[in-house]
Amino acid sequence: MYGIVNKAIEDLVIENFGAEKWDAVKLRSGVDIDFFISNEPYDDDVTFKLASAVSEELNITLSEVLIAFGEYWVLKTGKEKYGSLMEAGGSNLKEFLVNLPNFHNRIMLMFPKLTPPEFKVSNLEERSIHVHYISKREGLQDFTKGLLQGLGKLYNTAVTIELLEDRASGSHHEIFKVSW
Amino acid sequence: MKYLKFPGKMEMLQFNSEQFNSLFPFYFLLNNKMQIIKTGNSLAKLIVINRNEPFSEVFAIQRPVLETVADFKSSVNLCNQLISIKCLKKENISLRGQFQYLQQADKILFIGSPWFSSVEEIKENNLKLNDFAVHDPVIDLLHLLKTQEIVTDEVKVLLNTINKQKSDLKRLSLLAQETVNGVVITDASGKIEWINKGFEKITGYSLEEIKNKTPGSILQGKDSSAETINYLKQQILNKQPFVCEIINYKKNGQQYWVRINGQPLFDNKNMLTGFFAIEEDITQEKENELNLQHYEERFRIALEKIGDNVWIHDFESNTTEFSKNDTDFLGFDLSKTKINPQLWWNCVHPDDKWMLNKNNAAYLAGEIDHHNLEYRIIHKTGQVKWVLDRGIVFEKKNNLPLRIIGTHTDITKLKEAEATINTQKQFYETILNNIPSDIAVFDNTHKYLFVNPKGIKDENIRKWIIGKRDEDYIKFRNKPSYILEGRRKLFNEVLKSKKIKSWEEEVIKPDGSREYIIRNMYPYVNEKGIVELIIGYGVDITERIKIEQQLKIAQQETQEAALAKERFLANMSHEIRTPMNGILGITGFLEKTHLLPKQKEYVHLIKESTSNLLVILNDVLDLEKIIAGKLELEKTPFNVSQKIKAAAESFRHKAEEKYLTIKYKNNLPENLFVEGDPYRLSQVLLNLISNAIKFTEKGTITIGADIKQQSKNTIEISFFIADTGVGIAKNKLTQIFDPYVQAKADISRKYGGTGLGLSICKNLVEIQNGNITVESKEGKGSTFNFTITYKKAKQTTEPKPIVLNFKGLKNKNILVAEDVEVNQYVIENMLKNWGCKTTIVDTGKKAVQAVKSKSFDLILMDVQMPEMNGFEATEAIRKLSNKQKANLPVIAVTANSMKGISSRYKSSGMNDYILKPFDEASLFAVMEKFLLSKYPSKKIGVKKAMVYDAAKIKALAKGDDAFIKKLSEIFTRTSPQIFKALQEAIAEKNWQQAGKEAHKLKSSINSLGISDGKKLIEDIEQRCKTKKQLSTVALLCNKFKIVLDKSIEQLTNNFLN
Ligand code: HEM
Repeated sequence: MYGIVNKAIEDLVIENFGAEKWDAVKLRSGVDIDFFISNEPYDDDVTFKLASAVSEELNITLSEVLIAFGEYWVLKTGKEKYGSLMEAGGSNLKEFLVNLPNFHNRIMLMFPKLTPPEFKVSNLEERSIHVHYISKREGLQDFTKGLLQGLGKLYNTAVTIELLEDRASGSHHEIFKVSW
Repeated sequence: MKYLKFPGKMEMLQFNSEQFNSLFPFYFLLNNKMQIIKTGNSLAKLIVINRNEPFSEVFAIQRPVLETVADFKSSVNLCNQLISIKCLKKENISLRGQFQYLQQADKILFIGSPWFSSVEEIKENNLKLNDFAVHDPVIDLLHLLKTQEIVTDEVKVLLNTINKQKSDLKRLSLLAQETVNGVVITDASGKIEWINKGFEKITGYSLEEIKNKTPGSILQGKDSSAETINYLKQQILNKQPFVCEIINYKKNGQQYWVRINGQPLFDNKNMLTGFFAIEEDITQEKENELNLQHYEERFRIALEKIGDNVWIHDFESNTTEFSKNDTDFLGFDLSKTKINPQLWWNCVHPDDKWMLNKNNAAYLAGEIDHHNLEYRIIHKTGQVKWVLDRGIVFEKKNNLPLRIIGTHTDITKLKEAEATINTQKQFYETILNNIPSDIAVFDNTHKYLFVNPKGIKDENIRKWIIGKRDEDYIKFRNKPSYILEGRRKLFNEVLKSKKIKSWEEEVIKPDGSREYIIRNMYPYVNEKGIVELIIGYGVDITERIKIEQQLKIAQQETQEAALAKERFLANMSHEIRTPMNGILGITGFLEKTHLLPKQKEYVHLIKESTSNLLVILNDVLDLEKIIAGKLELEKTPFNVSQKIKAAAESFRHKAEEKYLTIKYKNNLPENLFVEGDPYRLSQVLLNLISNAIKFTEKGTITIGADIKQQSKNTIEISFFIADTGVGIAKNKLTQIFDPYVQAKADISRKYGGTGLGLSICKNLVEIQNGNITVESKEGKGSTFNFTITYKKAKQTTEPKPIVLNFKGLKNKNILVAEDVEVNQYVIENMLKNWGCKTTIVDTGKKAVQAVKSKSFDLILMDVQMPEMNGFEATEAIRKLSNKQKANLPVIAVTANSMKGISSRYKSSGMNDYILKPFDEASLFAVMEKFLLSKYPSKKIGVKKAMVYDAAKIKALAKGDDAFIKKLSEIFTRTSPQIFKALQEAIAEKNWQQAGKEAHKLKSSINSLGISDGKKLIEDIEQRCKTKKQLSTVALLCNKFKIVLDKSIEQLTNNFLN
């Protein structure tokens, strides 16, 4: 994954727990990289090691780490670094989600070596939508959940997220029902 | 409907408007007039363009640069080029795209997108992602840019960090390079890779010489401890840090001590990459340590020699070693304490153990590095000993004491002595603390050494103040600074004078009551004569002062009472004398008329009763005067024998009436003249003779006198009056001289009298420096004896008995000023009988008036009169401008017999006075002085009558009355003394001394202008100095005395009363 992801984890930890905690996380993860460059791709393993180390160091579940990270990604990384991109994505949650499939396709242009997830939407209703998450990576559905939650917060909309189907239970991909 | 022409195939593609818009949302269409006739949706959102608005008003072509304003033709020529146009209506908006000429329609189509330099601008221009055609890469390009920006920022941070680390590293390596310590870095196998300058300097080797060799192989030698070398090898082998001290060898073979501090170095993967070591040259340190050990040894020996027990305690092993193992201290063998570390502790007195525990804890906590304790230990014998235990840390580990060294000193004797001193100190302090006076002891810099609780009550302040100066105390108490200055001044005075200083202080307490304290500062002067201490102590004298004050008040009250009594007596005397004057006067006239024998007897009785009353009155007044010390004695020469005889004779008639014999047994020379008061002598004699006759029924009254003893100048005469009367009971003998006492209670009834007679006699005798006694046997008679010492006087002719020769008074004009009618009548009649002419007035005012309008020869002036009293009238007369009238003789007529009257009448300018009641003879006597020719009327006037020169004194004083008073006071006080000395010198014939005394007198006589005395004293001085005509010096002295006495009297009256 691109350095920007790892960097976001670093920012999340430093911002909330201080630089020393980050050093501890890094030490624990065994990741010996002092600087992450945003548009450099790193081994996916680095990201997973960091996430697990955070979970161990802070004594919270990996799922919680990923959810928090998802929210942080939207609200901090997305908003602060690619604010206009996020805003251009739509003027409300529904619009944004409808545009979401297109959204990541664009990001792939910015990060050419991306292994991007694919999003599809269906069952568009007045107050809910089905978000299909098709990814080559495993174990990131909690991250996606955090992302969707973060979007709700970004648009000041209370959301409930329901995992309708997932790969672990034999489906082809994950389907989230996002209601507001 | 739009047409797009594909060149080559010439095939037309058709889009509807919506399709075209979604493909090119920023397109616009120009007609051949260069008007914008159509715009895409997104362009319309970006810029407001009116229909047919000329292109040139909305846009300008930026690139390619045109020479003229773009017209339709030139624009067509721009087809197939990249065109950048700038919007004129909105700032910072430009479009990027291309023109396409549509031949058929003769129009130009612009296809392109807005060109932004950052994603933020999209939002600023209100555009959304959807406003761009999906194929349009502008946004993605911008995001790519954004990503690049983010990365650039990250790289900047990274660079910064790296730069910082680089400079840190530089500094570190410099440190490593420049430090005086040796730094060596080896590879994992221990071979040298790098050394710093310090290492080169210490060892003398350069890097080239020793690179790739192990430090041990080049530095260690025969004295390097094998044990340490082994340790080093082990640590390196085990990839462990190492610290040690070892002897190494320099390149030149010289030995040195080094402390090595080494550290293995690992890489990220925890792989040993090498070792890093700092080598510190500690040769000097080692030497010092050695010296210290020597020193310690010597010190310990010295201490032991002094007699102390030196010990070393090791905290780690908890053992103590003692240098003296003898049994002095505890009675146990101290060498065993190493085995039994508790031995010493066990011997410590249970009450003092806490001290050692506390001390130990403090050492182990690193709070102290030395101690100094005094505690008790119990000797094996049970004896309690005092020990002084001192110690100091001399070896530390981890900054905490490891070993302490110290001494034990037996201070039992010292403690015992101290205790004795303490008891003594306590004893004295108890005394000092309980003395009811405040005591403070200062050293000679005014620092407090001691103060007792009476001085400062508060115990804390009392403790605090020791060693402080008095000014600290004053500041502490917030007292005003003048108190300090005052105290400091006194202190310094005492310091200087070395004499005690005492003063009284009045302290007003908060409740308003007053306290009086005598404060003293007493210097303690040591043998060298230096004031070592100053002891301040105060004694509360409030009680005493209060008693004194009460006494003063009582005294004042007594004085006032006495004064009241005196005033009362004066009034009474006055009130009685005034009517008596009438009675006596008129009785006198009555007597001279033709009377039947019976009437004559009655008149006689009236006279006698009146006289008796007068005697009683005089007795009372006399006694009071004597008691009050206000009786004035006269000093005139008189013949004593004559006085005795006259007194005896005056009673002969009375005695004969009772058939008593009067015997006269005078052994004095007939013409013995003495100086004294003849009247007071007569008074005593008459009183005693009168008593003798009164208390004797038959027998003899013997009156006599003898010379008891005499010197050249004085003579003591003893008088006696013996009777054969009733006598006095033995038990009454002592009382009879008390006032108002008579020998028998019924006496006054039987014999009459006030009972004051004897008391007056006794007092009169005593004030003449005499003595009166009585001997008596009841029924046999009494003998009264009294003595008086007189100055001998030369024989003088006593004034002959007055012969009442009224002739001289004939036709004299007399002014009588008298307000009481009876007295007017009496005086008028007397004067008329003598042939005088009288004018009577009843106020002082009228008297002055009369003097002014008529001429008189003399004035009889009553003192107490309405409107203007006699004194005031006289003063007014004296001030009259007519000199003759102003100098008229004025005689005061007064019933007031108390002291002060005579000086008062004199000072107001009266010439003489007569006391009421008076008889013809005494009135005549006083008038005769001023009217008959043998007393030539001398110039009268207060000023002229003075022996001193008032004008001269006043000139001298220049208006300062106090000066005159002082002058008079000095003269009246000192001149009698000098005169006495003069007389004594003359008596001893010490002429030189006499001359000196006379000279002294002369100057003061001169300054007062006493002209009468001046000539006399000059004569005396002259004769004494020349020793010529000495026989008459005494005589001159007597003459001078008269002048001196007079001047003293006058000065006293005029200036001192
Ligand atoms: C400005 C906004 C965003 C940017 C720049 C961005 C960028 C990225 C990047 C660089 C990756 C790493 C992929 C790789 O290196 O192979 C990624 C992963 C991912 N993104 Fe985003 N993203 C954005 C917003 C979102 C949003 C709003 C969502 C969705 C709800 C989302 C969902 C995901 C997911 C689920 C992954 C995990 C990849 C996987 O499953 O394989 N992202 N994104």
